[in-house]
Amino acid sequence: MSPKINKLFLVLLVVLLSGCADSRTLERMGLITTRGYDLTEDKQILVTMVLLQIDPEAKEQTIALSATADTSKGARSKADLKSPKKLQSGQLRVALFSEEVVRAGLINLTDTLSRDPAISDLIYLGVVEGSVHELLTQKTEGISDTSQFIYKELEQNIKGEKIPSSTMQEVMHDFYAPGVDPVMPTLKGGNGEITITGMALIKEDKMVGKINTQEAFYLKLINDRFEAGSIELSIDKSEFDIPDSEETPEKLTVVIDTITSYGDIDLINKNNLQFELKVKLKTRLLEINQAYDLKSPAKLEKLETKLCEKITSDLEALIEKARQTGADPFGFGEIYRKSVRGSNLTSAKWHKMYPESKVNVKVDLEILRTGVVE
Amino acid sequence: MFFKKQQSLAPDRIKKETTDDKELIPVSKDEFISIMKQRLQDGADFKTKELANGFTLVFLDTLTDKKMLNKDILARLGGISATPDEALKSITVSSTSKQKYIEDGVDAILKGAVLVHSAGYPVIISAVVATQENRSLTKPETESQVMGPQIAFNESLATNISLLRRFLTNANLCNESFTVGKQTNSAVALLYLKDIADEEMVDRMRERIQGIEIDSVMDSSNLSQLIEDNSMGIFPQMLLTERPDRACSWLLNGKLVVLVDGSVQVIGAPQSFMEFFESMEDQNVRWQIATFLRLLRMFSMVVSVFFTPIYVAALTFHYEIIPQTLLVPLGESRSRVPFPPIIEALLLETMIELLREAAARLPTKVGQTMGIVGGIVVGTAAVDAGFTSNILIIIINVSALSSFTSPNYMMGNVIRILRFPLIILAGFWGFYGLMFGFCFLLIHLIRQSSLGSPFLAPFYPPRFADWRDSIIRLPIGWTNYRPAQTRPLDRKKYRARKTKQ
Repeated sequence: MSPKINKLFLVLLVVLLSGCADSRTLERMGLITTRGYDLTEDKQILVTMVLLQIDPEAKEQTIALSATADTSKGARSKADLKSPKKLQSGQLRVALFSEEVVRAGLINLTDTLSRDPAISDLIYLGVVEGSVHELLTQKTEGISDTSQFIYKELEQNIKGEKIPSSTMQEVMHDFYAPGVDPVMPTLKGGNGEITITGMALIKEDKMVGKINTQEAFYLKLINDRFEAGSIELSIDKSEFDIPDSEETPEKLTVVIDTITSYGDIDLINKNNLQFELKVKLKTRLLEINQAYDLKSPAKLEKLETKLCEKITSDLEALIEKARQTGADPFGFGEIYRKSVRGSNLTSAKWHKMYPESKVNVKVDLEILRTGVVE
Repeated sequence: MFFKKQQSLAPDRIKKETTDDKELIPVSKDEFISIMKQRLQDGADFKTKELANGFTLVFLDTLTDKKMLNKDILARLGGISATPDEALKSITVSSTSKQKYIEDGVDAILKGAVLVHSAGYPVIISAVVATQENRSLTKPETESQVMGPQIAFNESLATNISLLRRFLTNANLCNESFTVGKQTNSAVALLYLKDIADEEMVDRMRERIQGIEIDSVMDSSNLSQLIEDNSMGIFPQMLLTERPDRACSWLLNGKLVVLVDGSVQVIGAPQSFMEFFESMEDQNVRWQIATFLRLLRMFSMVVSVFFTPIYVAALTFHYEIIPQTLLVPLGESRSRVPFPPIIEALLLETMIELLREAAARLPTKVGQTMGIVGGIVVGTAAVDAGFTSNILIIIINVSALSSFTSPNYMMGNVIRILRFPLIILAGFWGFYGLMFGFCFLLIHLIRQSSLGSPFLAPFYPPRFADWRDSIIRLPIGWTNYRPAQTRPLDRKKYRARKTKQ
């Protein structure tokens, strides 16, 4: 045989002997879109999997399978016994954990999710108040596909800058990075609704506290740059010369829309662990609930000052609350590690230092436009 | 080195059969007629005419123009003394010559000449009075376009060269003539612009044409397969055109043009891969539009080759990459199909190819029904019957449509065919197979050459200056250099500043 034929023969041999790759044809796969983890009484994990139902004749768009096992993968192979299609996690969008699970520590579960190459790093993680299994299996009128509903709800609010983003990539990063703790949104079902109630504060991998959505907004204000979020603020109206009457509300409430925001943390004293948090906000006033003369610059300035004070005190309260729980979602530890040379900060070390830290909050708020108000 | 050795061989090969074994013209009239008759196999159209004063005319009835024969030869030869010199003086045909050998006489008679034999002389006069059986010049069919000259080459070599000469009134336009084909003796012409075209390329082309040993060359597409760098590859390395303006633009860029008698298309070389996606119209529309169209054609080539394989790979192996909103309709439509995606795709692709081939073979009037058959039967019924998923129908249609956007028919065919191995690779090994196929194609393309110059020219080797008129087209003032691929002796077309006024 000539060398050319030899080469061809070799290629043919490689092709024929290797055979086809292991195929995963779409319609034969059970595509898991949401996974939920609960803790059973005997400390096992109850895994609920919502599958996308690919059958034009089926009434329901999804099927929920659940299985109890010691590990997440074990539960999947148990659930395989209940499914006509091979269960696959490649289309996973949301992983939900019950509060119980997160309070016990969730790193083993998220770790197996992040190891699986088929699972995207951009899936959303969430904490459910109550039972995840109930939430995912509940039949609600008007919600045809609970898992999609939750996914869209989380996505919409994260993109709309209502709550901080909590993709698996971010949670895992915050977990492994010393000096910052992850946060995850909390969800609550019932009354035909699924509501985002706030954020879970997590220390190491255990949930230690909760903040509400207003505080979640402030958390985002510190950590990220804003472009679209808006917030409602209520301030005491006694200092404004607004005529008091029975009909008008007791508090002056304004809705401001952030045009840009900028948060900056500096370590100003490394021995006393004193940080300075500067927040700059450029906003637009969207709505005000009482008659207030916005045309007068002096009055507008007064409003600005009052709003500043309000935000400052809110931020201080949030930081204090987080410090009480021991979780540091703001990343003060990272600033410390960055600013102090050779600090060799570890997560454990920082969690010991964190309760002693002090934060000075400085807010600079500017109302650029009020034109939207009548 | 290799090149020079070849060159020295070439002239010997054609001069081999010249003077030695040729037969002289006999002096006797009857002997001459019988030899000619025997040489031309006693053809039914072989005619002789004996004049009273000793001339004998021999010609092929089917190849000669009767009017010219009567007016310019017969009428002039009466009443003069029968010597070859007298005949040469009297005949009023522009192309006449003296012939000493029978072989030359046979060659001439086959080209439409009348041979005039004078009794007692071993020399004959040949006068060409060939009929001009030509189609009149028509509009371009395969490369029709809205803007630009509306004229195409026809089957006559002389007409084609005259068209080129009319577009390019330039004394530097060289025209070399060859005869190719042992049986057909087809005339082949090599045209190039002296002082622009690279001498080495001209030598190479000349040597390739002379080196051909084949019995017949019927069309320029035949010849181009014989003189290509790599006849085994799937990509054509030389481009054919039926537009004289396109051939001229090639000549002006330092390329060579080869014409074959009896062929409506001319060969241009060297060409780059990008040239297959360019149309002459790109020069006639504004540069923004031309750039958009060129990018669109490139994009559609990629879509046409890779769209179906990506579908197959995604559905067979990589369900992760499918957007979730598409999953349900895709899955539902797939759940009725009994075949795996690779079979489904191959089946539908084959159907499309069947339709296309059937439409091409049928007469035009019947061909219109093909659209109905294709649209209704294959399109709707196949989905209803659960034969294929309707998303695949869309994908196959888009890729079929994209393959039609290639301005070059040959490249369009290549794109059609390339899809099949890629679908098989995608169906067996998913994206790994697809990437393997893509890399294989890319390496193959990089290895190709056209007349010794790189086929993937402005990209590999990178010649960024030439990108201005390849994948995009910048304004004329910016494209004032000839492409480096042809290695032109004179790089500069014109001074840029003059055109920007």
